[in-house]
Amino acid sequence: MSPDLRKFIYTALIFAGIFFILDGLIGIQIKPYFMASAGDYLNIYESLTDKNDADIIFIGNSHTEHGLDSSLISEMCRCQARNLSTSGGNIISTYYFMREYLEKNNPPKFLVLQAGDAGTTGFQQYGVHYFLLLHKLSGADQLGYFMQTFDLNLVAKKLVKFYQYRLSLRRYLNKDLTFSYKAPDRAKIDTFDPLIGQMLSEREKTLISTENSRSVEIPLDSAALSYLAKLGSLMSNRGVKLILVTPPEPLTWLHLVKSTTAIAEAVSKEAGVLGLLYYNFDTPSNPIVNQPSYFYDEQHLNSDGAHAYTLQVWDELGKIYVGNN
Amino acid sequence: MLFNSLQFLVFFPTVVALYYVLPHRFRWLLLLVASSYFYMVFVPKYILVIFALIIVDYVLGICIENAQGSRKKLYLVGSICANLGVLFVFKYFNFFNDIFAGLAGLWHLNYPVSALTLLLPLGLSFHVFQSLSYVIEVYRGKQKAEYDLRTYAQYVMFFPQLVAGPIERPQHLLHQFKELHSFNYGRAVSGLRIILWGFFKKLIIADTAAIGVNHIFNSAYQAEGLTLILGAVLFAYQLYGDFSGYSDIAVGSARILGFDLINNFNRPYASHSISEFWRKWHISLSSWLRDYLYYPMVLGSKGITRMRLYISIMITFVLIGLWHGANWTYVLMGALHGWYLVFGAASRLWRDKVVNLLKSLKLSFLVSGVQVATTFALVSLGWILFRSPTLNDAWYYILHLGSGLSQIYKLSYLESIFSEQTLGLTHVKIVLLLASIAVLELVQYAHAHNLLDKLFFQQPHWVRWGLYYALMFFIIYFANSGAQPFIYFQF
Repeated sequence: MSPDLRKFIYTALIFAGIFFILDGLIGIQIKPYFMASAGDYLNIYESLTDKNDADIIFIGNSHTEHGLDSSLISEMCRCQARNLSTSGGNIISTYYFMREYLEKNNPPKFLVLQAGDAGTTGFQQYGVHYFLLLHKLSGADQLGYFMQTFDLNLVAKKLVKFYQYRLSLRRYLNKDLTFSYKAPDRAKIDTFDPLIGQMLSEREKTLISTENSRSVEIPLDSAALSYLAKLGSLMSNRGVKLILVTPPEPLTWLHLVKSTTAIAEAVSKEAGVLGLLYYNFDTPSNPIVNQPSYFYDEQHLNSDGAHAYTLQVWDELGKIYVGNN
Repeated sequence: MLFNSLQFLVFFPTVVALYYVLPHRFRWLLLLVASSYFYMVFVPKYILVIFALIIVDYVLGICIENAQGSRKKLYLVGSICANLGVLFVFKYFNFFNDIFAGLAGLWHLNYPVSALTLLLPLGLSFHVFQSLSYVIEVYRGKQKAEYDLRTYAQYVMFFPQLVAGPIERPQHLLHQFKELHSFNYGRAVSGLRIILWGFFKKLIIADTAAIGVNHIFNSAYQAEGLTLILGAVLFAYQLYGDFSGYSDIAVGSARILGFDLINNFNRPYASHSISEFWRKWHISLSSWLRDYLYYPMVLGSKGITRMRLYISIMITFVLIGLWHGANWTYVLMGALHGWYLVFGAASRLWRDKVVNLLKSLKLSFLVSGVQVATTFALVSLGWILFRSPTLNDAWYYILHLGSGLSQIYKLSYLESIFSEQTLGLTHVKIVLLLASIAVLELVQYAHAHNLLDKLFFQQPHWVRWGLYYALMFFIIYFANSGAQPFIYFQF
């Protein structure tokens, strides 16, 4: 080893040591204020670590997170239904999450998995918050995930502890001690995207006019397929009935830029291979997709839309649930 | 991959460690694999576009060197067509197609050509220009053709400057891939220091200013003059922090690996004229266009004439605008700068007389201040075109810059402008942003006047380390969450 390299390593170690001491000292001051970026994640962690059985679990990304009212399902089925979806959740994080869940809880009767959207059927580039969940899981699971995705974010997340302090400092300065999470009003968000060089609303128009072959048309990539099969196998072994659903999206938006028919066909085909039930609520004949007042942005249902969609889901699910009980 | 992502925090140390562990003969492979990974994190398939251009320019570079006369020129034209052809298809086809469709519509003609459905590969303009620089230099006999494909591929794909420059010249960068780089303590520390400074510019100044800029530009139709002026000034610093921050991280990363990249910025907002601004802003692009476009046009076979000079300036700057994007706002921004320079050249004599008169009255300081302020104002006016989504938006914004200024002396008016409602930033953030911009200008001033040695480098260890820690924690705690992409990636 060259003297220069040796000197650099020693200096770097001393520098990093002092850095982590300082970081720790600051952390002691603000750690009580720490929380994950959204209260939803804390709730999900609780369901991972505490005994929290459910009869029906809904899982998916923000479309299901915002679009399915599990309390309404609980009332109608007179059972315990839980919505464990996360923004940016994908099929791989769902698989690991459910594996962890089943180790600590009794298996549910039904697992209703959102399918047909890029967030749940592709991976990596569409997942936003999934690594917040993943770093809670076992080392072997994380290694498996990394080998599938080569996602360096996951590795970095484990190394960069102060990221969470940064979030908590803001809370500390704002004297914000509440742990509630309120989804932002997406209808009001319209910002300039420097990567695209356009306002997002303008971008949407451009997408509609110019892009007919976006990657979201690829409904299930190879990694997603293998994880869907693994999830199917895991649920089957634990006696859980896995059901696939595609939630509605506004007819005026994504239907113009992606081939929903092709996606539905691909998911339907895969469901057939795995012997799963599949319900597609994203069809032009569904009144929800034709009703703009049911959506608060170009993809997500608002509370009225969530109510309507939840009733539709129960119409189908209820038949099987009642039949099974 | 974004420099300001967690991924880079793992990626870069890993690449550096492997680079110095591996024997020299294997380092080319590491750099190519790392660069490919770095690029493919965005849109994997577009790596094929880069590979294709590498092969074409590599082969044509050798052909140019070995050919004579018209055949030599033919190979050069072939390479230029291939590079600009790719750029045209991905970046400009739909823009010109819309123009032709509009013209056909005016004449009620049938225009059957439909728009292409392609996304622009990131940083395409950067590596196309760098590739062109190579073939042109080979054609001019100033650079030997590179016979080792591995070396040439590294020249085009070197990850620190792959997606947003600086646009390197072969004479400066190519030979560095053949040299044995041993780990050097001084270079590593200086590289890390530059990276830290780049992160400060990007994460604190650019990303914080971006919030205020977005708020103001998004509600420009409801805003008054002072708010709009503030938006333009903040965008000037957002753009500078974003792009020069990227360049700093690129230069610092390359330096740690033993490579020297050219400096892309040199205190541009302290320029006394527009021509000085373009010698200090995005230096690698402006010097590229100067050497390969402007000089050949001005120094044409018919000699220099005033009209030829003006036309050359206008063409060069319209192309600078167009280089940034296929949008009329960029074209007009370039034309505006071209017009500034033409006006500057035409009015030089009488402007010099005024300046000399004021200097004779011992008002040099005032002259300098007015020149810098005027230049900054003119540049910021151009940035409004850069930032506005459409020409209509830009026009409205510019026309209303003077509205409501009569209330400027009222404290309540100023409070309403520097408020969270107007800027989307808390008072703490606004103060931090303004203080950060002041720190940026002070450090740049000290650097330009060789004061940094005395003020920083000659200080004891604990002072320097204390400043490093302060800057690091400042970035960690006050940077905005979420990795914001660099603006210049889109070009």
